[in-house]
Amino acid sequence: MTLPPRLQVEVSNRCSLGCASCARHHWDPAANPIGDLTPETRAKLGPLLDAARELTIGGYGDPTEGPELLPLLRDAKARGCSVRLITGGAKLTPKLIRELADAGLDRLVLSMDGARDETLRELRGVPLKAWRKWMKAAREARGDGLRPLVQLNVVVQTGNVEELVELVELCAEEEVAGIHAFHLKAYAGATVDRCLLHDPDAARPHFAAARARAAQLGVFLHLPSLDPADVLCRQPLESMFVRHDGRLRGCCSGLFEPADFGLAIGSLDDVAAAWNHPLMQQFRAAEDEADFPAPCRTCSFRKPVLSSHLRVLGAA
Amino acid sequence: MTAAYLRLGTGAGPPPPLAAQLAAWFAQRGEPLCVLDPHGEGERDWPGDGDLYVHLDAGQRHAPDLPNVTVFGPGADGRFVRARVRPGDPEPGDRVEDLGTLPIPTYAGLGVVPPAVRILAGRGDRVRPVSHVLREIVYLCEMHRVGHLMFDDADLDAFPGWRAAFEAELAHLPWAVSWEGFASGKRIRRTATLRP
Repeated sequence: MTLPPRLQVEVSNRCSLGCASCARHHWDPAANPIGDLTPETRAKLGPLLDAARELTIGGYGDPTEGPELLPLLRDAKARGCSVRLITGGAKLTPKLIRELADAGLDRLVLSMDGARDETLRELRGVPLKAWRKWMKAAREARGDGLRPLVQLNVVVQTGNVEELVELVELCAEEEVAGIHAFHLKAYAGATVDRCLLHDPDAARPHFAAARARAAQLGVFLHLPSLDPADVLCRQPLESMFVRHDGRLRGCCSGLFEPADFGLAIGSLDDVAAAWNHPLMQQFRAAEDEADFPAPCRTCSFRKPVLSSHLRVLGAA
Repeated sequence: MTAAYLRLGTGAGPPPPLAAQLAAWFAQRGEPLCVLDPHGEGERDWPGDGDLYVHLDAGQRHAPDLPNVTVFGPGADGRFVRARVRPGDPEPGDRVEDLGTLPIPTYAGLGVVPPAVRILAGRGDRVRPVSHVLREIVYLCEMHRVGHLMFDDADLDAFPGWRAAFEAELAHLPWAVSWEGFASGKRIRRTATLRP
């Protein structure tokens, strides 16, 4: 049975943070009950972990809130996966970072939407000193080695785009390897003008300056496209996403209910059927844009246009 | 501020890693570094008012013999009278004992980075820490989707234990990266695998 080389698992959809850009503020709570990955569900991941080169732990909750975080990490390392953890830091502590490092975590991805204290407090509700503390703990945990490498995920938007250069410099100072930045998705109509695609030309000088500084300092930097050309997506060719409740998705987009923004492909009860789900086959066979599954045709990760980033949820 | 200039002498091939490291060194110091003529045909863009670093592959001879020129690489030899000759190592200033303190090459300004790049495990008797080399590889994979590495070192086994430690760390990366190099007199190749 062929299984994907990349796997993402959500260990909880619980989160104590209140990040401004999160869909959690607007989703239907009845359709998205709070829950954690259970030991029984984790046990079903064995064949997927055996096949995967890389496991990403993260989803629509903060993984530090899930009791199965460390057991899953240990399972994955025992089975030879490279493991990265994406966290906003809800329950992240230096002690937990040490435990994660001891368990073999390869990459710690911190979600950090700015370089200044006031910006971080506004967008993430967390002070700058918290990130510096986590970065220091990761540095101490890896000693002279490489792991855990630290990376930042940034939702870049009008309120922080002018801090990109500062963020790159902070990475160099704190020995953070690089940054992946993403456009803001507007889950409420009122926030759409914060998306850089509302006025891409205003963002271009900041992007250019950040790219130049990152190249100077050896910090990798992926910025989202400001131009409307389609972005290549390979996820249904190589990835599978497991929600905390064992439901499966064929891509990382909108890992909540309703599944309008992503590919719902079944559950862990039949992994092979999910990997070969008609939506996955449709994506893989697509030659023209009209051939792709409907969610892909307007996906914000494939379409760098404002309309694709307007994802107003029913309760908004 | 006086600019430094770098001329690559490798035809249309990938930039030599020493030159890339030199570029990174200057870039980190915030000094302008101009890359001249990647095809190694001459110094026509060099105004002559700053230092020029010229990498010479074995058998290459063309470089101006002037005091503000540094030639380096296998082709740098005693036929230069006024130019500075740094066989194998172009780093400016005092010798850096810990190569892990040098910036990683980012290939900024050096043109398109191919999917297979040349890389160094060490310089002469100095070895780069495995973690430092891996940081460079992470950067190359993240930014340029590099999938194959070609070590320029004459003998990877000249650094005891280095090759085993490198292979163990490479297995932890989320990408399948192949590599090749010379070790104990043999050409060795390691193919990429989906699973470590």
